[in-house]
Amino acid sequence: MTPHQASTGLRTLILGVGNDWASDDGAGPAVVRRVQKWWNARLRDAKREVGFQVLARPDLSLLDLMARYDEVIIVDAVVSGAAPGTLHRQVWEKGMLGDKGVARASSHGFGLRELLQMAASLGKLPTRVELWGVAIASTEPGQGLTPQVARAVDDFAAELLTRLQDCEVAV
Amino acid sequence: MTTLRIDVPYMARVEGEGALNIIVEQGEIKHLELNIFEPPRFFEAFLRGRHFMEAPDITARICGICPVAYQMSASHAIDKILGIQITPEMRALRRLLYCAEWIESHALHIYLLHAPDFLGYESAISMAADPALRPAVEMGLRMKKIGNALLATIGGREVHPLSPTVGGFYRAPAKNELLALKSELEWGLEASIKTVAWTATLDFPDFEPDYELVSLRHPDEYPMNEGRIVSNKGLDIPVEEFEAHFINDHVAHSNAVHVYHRDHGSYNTGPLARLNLNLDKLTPLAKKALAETGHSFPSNNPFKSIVARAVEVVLAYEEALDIIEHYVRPEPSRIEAEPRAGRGCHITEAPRGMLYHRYELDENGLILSCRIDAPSAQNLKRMEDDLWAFVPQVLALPHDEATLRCEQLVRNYDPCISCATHFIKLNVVER
Repeated sequence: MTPHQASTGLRTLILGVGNDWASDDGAGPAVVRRVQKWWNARLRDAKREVGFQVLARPDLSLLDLMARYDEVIIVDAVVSGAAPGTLHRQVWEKGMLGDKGVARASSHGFGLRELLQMAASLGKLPTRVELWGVAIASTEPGQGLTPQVARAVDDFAAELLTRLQDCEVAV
Repeated sequence: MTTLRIDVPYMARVEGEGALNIIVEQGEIKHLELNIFEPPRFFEAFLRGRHFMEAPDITARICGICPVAYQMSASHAIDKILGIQITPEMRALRRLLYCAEWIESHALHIYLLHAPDFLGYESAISMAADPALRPAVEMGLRMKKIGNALLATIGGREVHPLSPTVGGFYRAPAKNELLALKSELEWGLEASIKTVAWTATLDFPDFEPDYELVSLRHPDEYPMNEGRIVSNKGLDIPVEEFEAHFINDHVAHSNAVHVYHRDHGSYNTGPLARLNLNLDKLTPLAKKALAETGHSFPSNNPFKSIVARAVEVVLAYEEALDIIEHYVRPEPSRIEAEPRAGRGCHITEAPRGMLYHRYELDENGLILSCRIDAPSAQNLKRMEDDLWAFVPQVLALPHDEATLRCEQLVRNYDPCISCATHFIKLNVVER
C-alpha cells in the first residue's frame, strides 16, 4: 500500500480485489493501479488521505487496515449477468450481501462478505463502504483481461478518480 | 429419540469441502460417513519429473494455512537424500519458522473456528458481535497477526513463504529484523497464557475414546522438525518405518485417503496427541499454564484439543522469543549439494499433526515418485470412529444440537480437507 498523507480531510482506502493470474478476476486490481497512477500525479491538490491496496483475495489483515480509514471503496470482479465491462456501484449495508456463506466461513473461504461482516462485528468498518463491481467474462487461468473488460478499465478508473475528487460526498 | 438423521451438506469452519452424513434408526447407526467431496488435487503426480528444489515450493501450495509444514517435511526429506547436514543456526531458524506457523494456525482455529462451538455461536463473526466476547476475538486476531508477521519476516511473505528451501534458506533474516518483533511476541506470550486459562473454562462433553495417540518425540525438545514416531500403545520407531506401520487406503466416499495403523486401526495425531506424549518437554510457561487449568493431562478427550492447542501457542511464543534472543544469522544461509539418486523420507509436526513426505530422486535430482500423508488424512478414519462412539450420546438431544455436537467433534481435529485431498489416484468408472 502507498498511503498519501494530506494535511486534513477524509481518509479513503481504495481496495482492488482479484487474482491477476485468473484473467478478468484481475479487473479490480487493474482499475485500482490505474487510479493510483493518476492520483499520484495530482497529489498536490489532494485534500484527503488516500490509500491504495490490491489483494489477490481479501484477508484478515484488511480488518486493521480498513479501521484506519473513514471510507473504503472496494473494486472487485462480479458475475452479474450484465455485459462484460458493465460497472455496478453500491453502498454496502450490513446484511446486504446476505448471510449465505457467513456461517461456514473457514480461513479458506473467508471472502469479502465475511470480511465486511467481521469488520462490522468488531466495529472496524469505515463509516462508508462502497462496492464497485466490474462485470467480467472469464476467470480462466493466465494473465490479461478480456478485450471488453480491458476497454472498461480506463473508464472505471476515470469515474473513480472523479469520485475521489468529489469532496462533497457525505460520510 | 431413537431415530436421527444428520445431514451437513457443507461442513462449516473446517478448511476445505466436506459433508457429514449420519443415519440412526431405532437407536442403531445405519450409515455414517465423512464425505470428502473436495476434488483430488494430484500433487504427487505434479511432482514427478520435477527437480528436487521445486518440491518445497510446490507442496507448500497444498495448504495456505500450513505451508511451512510442507516446506519443512519436503526440505528435510531431500536434505537426507543429498546428505546435507544443516548447521545449528539453520536448525534454530527452521524451528522459529515453525513456531510462527503454529501461532497463526492455532490462534485462528482456537478463536475463529473452534470457540464458537463451545460458546453457542454460529461463527466467529456472530461471536465478535457480542460485546462480551469481542475482546477475545480481537485478542485471537492479534495473536494470529503476530504469527503471520514472524512468518513474513523469516519467509518473505505471510502465506507460502519464499525463503525456506532444501539445505536451509535462500535468505536468513538479520537479528535486528527479528528483534523488531520482540515486544509484540512478548504481548503474544501473555495473551496466549490468558488463552489457555480461557479455553480451560469451556464446557467439555464427557467423551474419552481409547485412542492410539501418535506423534513425534524428541529427546531434547517438544517435537516440531524431528523425532521418532511414538504412541501411547507402545510404538517407538524411526520415521523411516512409517510406511511399514501406517497404511494409506482409499475409500469410496472420500476423495481423501484414510490412513490407519497396521496394528491398531485408526489413530489420533495432532495437538492432543503431541501434548499427551510430550508433557515433559513443555517449556516452563507452557507447563505452568497447563497446570493452572486444573485439567488433568494426559487426556483422551478430543474436545480438550482446544486446550492443547492453546498450550502449544504458549510454547511457540516462548520458544520464538528464546530463539530470537540467541539468534545467530546463518552464514551462509543455505548448503548446496549436487544431485544424487536416492530415497528419503521425513516427518514434521504440522499444526494438525504428523506430516509425512517421501521422495525418490534420479541421478539428475528429478523426482521419480513421492508420497505425502497429510495429518488430516491420518485423522479422517479416527474422526469417523469418534462419531460412531459419540452419536449414541447425542441421540436424546434436539436435532440441531445433536448436529452441532457432531460437527464440533470433527472440528476438534481442525481438519484441513484441502490438505487431505492432495492425493494421486482418481478412479474413473466408465459405463
